[in-house]
Amino acid sequence: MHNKVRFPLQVLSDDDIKSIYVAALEILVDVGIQFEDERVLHILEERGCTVDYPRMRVKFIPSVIEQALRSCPSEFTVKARNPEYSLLFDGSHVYFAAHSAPTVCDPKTGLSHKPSSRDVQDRLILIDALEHINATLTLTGEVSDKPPEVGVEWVKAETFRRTAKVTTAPAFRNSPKWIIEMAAVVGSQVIGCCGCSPPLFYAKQDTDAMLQYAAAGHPVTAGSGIALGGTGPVTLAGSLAQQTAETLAGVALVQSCHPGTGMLWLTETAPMDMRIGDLAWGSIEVGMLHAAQGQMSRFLGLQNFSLFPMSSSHISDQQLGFEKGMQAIIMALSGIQFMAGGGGVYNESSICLEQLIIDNDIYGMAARFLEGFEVNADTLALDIIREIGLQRNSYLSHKHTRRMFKQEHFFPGVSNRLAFETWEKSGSKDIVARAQERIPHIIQKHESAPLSPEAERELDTILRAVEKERLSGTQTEHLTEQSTA
Amino acid sequence: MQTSDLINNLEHSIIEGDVDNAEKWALQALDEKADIPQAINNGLIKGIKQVGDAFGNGEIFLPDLILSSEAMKIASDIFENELRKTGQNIQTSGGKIVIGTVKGDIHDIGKTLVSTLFKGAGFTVIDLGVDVPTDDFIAAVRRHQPHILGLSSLLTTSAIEQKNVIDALDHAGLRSQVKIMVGGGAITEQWSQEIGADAYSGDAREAVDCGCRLLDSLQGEYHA
Ligand code: B12
Repeated sequence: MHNKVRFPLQVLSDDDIKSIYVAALEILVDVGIQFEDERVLHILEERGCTVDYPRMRVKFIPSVIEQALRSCPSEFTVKARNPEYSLLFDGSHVYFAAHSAPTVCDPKTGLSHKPSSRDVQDRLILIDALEHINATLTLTGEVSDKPPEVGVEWVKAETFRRTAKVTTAPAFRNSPKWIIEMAAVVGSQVIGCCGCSPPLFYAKQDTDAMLQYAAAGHPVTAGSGIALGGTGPVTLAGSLAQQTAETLAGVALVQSCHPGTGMLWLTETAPMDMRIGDLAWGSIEVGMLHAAQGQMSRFLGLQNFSLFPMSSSHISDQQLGFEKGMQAIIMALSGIQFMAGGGGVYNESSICLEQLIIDNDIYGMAARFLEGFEVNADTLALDIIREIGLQRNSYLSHKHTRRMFKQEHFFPGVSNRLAFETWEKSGSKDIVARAQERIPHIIQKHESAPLSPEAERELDTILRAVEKERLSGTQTEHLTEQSTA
Repeated sequence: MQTSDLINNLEHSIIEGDVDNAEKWALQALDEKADIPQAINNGLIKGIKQVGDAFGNGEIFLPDLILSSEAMKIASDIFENELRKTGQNIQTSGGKIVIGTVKGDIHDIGKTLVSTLFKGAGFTVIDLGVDVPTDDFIAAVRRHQPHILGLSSLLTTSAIEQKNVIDALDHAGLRSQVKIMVGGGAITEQWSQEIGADAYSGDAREAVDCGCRLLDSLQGEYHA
């Protein structure tokens, strides 16, 4: 569905936008970007950039950047296994995604553990079932009962099995190779989630992944996560200039090799809290930076992508709720097209399933806001107002009410709206307890659309090949048994 | 200028994080042949202690702390050089730590914070950066003879490198010379014990307290 509300949040004037862009170009031209992979240095040298090989530094020329921006498509689709879940990036849609982290945690104590394969599966089933979650991140692949060497691919195969929604794919070892094969088997695209390691450095792992995903026809991200005052300037404008430069360098690389690849400007930027030195992912400045990123990305003709809304709180408390809630609405109104904080706690250190349920409500509210409301004869309801006039309490029984209420009002899944006595009688539960109760209910009821038997077999074959590549012979046999069991 | 005023000024330049003044007053102290150990103890160390406490209490911020430690470094270098000339050897710093993020891991922020706070506590810090190969850690331990080696790891996949470094130190016969502290998002107390590290800390400030305790225990060992 198209959003009616056009992204009105503006924190930058037109002049500000230009100043940031010019500053980014100056960074690219004067300071340059360091690339760990020599192949990348050659590619960019051929395009006319100046390369300092011993320092692995590329100084760009503006025309390379401008041409790269011109060759980015102004819209593209990311195909999901179920086409209904495909994502259209054309500047007028906002999508919500679940986050990913190496541990799962308890919503009340914050204590975390490495997920078991069951935890991984439960998370994926919830993602497939929750109505306001459009996609999922996979950044890592921790599973307590699988060998760590094959964790990323195992989680990815499970993702393709348990949800027909779009998934991102990480830059991790040589996992892109395998993930690309899996995506082909299930007939979906992924979003290659890669970026710069600030300040001004692209690791080989990331550029490798960017080029591999792009070569296979998948859209990719470029961008970075700056810690303001740590890995970039402490000022919002300075960090935006640096991040714009880091993003444009990635865009230039990908477009030089695979012109026309769908590109998303990724952000993971947040202030460093100068009282303690840790990151402040739930801060209001994160909201301001997103509003600016929305404006900057529209100016450059790029789509965008964010790992927020997030919070620094370790538990599902008020802080987590208001930080994520405020960010979600700000981001939605800023035209952030993909926001991926669902279920994440403590600066994306951990995942909390109860929080995923709560975030589903936050996302639903943000999406409802963007839909806006129609003003026409039917919704103005003049006829009905004339008819009812001054009579009391007649609207509830009017047909118009029954016909329109679902389209006009949003119904959150776990927010409490009960009368006090009813709420008290039902156990005085808070939102976390209600979310906790909803989880087994959804997991038992939901049926993910199964893959075809051939696709299942092919995924297994790929997993076996991964095992063979990463593990020695004796272990492999043992593992194959486990994975087919 | 009276020695007490000079020492006051030095202390203030540290508290203010005023690098230029710290240098100026330290040089003037040399000119005026002030008592250097006294200047170190009552000026520099007193100042930096106050800064450390203020940071701990949330009264000042990280950038303040960092500038104070830079001011401290510049003044103490001047004094230490002078003392060395006259054959004296006073250590202004508590101890020496070599620190880095292990191979395959480029997460920088937490490790740098830990280095910074160690500097703030008066340690000499040799920061090897990120993605540091095991051999470089071994070479640095051999060369700098630190009291403590700090290993940071944020990735589950790179955590194993901490064990590799400890094993390599063992092989090189260097393990008993240095206390090993581990930390970073992927690390737990339990892991630290499994791989035979001497200490784990999940937070930079705690890491410094723990480093100071390790140092005390080492100095205890030396005296014994
Ligand atoms: C910032 C960040 C990045 C930045 C790093 C920028 C930079 N220059 O440092 C970028 C974007 C480059 C990045 C890249 C990647 N990242 Co990263 N990143 C993070 C993030 C968000 C924050 C880390 C951080 O700086 N925290 C703030 C500091 C202050 O905290 P800290 O590091 O934990 O340090 C504190 C303590 O641990 C302790 N400490 C730290 N070191 C030491 C050392 C000693 C001796 C002691 C005693 C104590 C100690 O004291 C510190 C201060 O209190 C974390 C999530 C998180 N919240 O941890 C993910 C995270 C660590 N990253 C992750 C991943 C997956 C990656 C990538 C693989 C992504 C990819 N490319 O696909 C790459 C890996 C690149 C590589 N080879 O290392 C995962 C790791 C998962 C796992 N399996 O372990 C995390 C958990 C995110 C997630 N939800 O999945 N990342």
